[in-house]
Amino acid sequence: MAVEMEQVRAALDPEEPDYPGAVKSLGPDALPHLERIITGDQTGLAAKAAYLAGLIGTDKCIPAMNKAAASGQAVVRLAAAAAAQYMPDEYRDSLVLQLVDDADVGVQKVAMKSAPAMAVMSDALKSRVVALGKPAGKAPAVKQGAKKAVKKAAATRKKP
Amino acid sequence: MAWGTQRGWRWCNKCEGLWFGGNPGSKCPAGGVHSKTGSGNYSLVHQATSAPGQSNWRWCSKCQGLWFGGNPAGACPAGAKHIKTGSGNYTIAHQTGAGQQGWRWCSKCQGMWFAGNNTAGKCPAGQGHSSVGSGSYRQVIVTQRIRVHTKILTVPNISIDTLMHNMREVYATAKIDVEWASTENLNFPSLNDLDVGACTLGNTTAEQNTLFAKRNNVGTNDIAVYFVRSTVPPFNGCAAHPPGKPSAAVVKTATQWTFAHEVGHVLGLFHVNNNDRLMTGNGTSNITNPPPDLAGTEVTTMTNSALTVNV
Repeated sequence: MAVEMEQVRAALDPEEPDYPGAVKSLGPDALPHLERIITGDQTGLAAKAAYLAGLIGTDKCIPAMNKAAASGQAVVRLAAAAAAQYMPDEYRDSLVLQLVDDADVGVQKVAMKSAPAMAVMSDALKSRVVALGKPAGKAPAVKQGAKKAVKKAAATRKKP
Repeated sequence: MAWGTQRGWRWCNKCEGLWFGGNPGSKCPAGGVHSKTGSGNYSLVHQATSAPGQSNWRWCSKCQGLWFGGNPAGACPAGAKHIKTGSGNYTIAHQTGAGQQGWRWCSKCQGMWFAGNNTAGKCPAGQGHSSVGSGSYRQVIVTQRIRVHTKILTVPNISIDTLMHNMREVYATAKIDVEWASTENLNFPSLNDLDVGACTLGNTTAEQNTLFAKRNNVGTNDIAVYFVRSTVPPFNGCAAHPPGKPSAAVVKTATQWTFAHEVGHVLGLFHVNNNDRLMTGNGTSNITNPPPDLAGTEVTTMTNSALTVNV
């Protein structure tokens, strides 16, 4: 059954949207509407749309997520960074790799938190995360996230 | 800057004027001292730089009455003219806003008087008060209060003055006075996009715990509201808080009612499926009859909260 814009707005308008419920009730059919909201002029709503698009989590989300990641509004890019963890592996890694070097430090921090375990990271992302954890790296919160990821990977390797 | 509220203002049943009952030595134009018999406890906003309403209302230390200081001083029942020495600058809801309607400015004495009874009362300039040329003023009667502190990491799109005024307007319908106890700028970039997890009652993240522990000047039963740029995941606000630290976060793009809505959660209210109400779960941007309503059961919950104190 086709999803109408009104249904998407009804899911996103609440102060505290029920994202898992919205994924269930709307599904991928909501994506064209979410894409429109992401590029619209209501920043708060666009951030919610970006997060929901990522949470839907299939390849079909990629156009919407690309738009969110390229938004001029930091909070929309930040929502994309937060939702990256729910995306298919390959796309998730490239999105995190892009947003971990975003101009906005909040986006960087959230992107770092969305990075997967080192063991399953792409090589490109892995080398970037290692670099970010070094002394000349990014803001404290980002560096801390990177260090944590590297440390966790090392601890994992030590297991018999 | 935080504006204040001052309770203890009373209606005088002898002269119909509004006067401050917190001091001795009032002077009533009907003779003797003012009487507060039958009066509610009125709460006035003072020292507001940008709260909606008409400012420049003053307390007269000679008669304890409220008068408009934007015109030459009018007659004072204590003799000669009203004075504003020692007075704050009071802002009164004018034409719109919450509270009891029927209050008027008297062009003869510059005083504030209640025109809702079948009498013009007694004016210190002679005979009854006059409502000629007056706008419609409203006064808020309160029986309880909450104290709210604002902590600003990011300035919201809608001014905090407006958000606070809107909350005061809705809560006034429950006779709850909203005291804006303090405001403080906080510089914590790593908490400015606050991880709130699923934002469910009683469950908080490490970031919420860290931010909500910053309670400078906030009393045990006071509510602290933190203005952040965004939350992760994106919400308009989130009222989940650790035990013993009543708090909420509100984001930059929040609506004009989000602040009051989140404080409603802190006071124990839950979502309802009704867009006439503050606690609508459909988004306060969809509120259809501003200011939104509080149901009787919600008022009971709010007044029973330990954060709501009798005044």
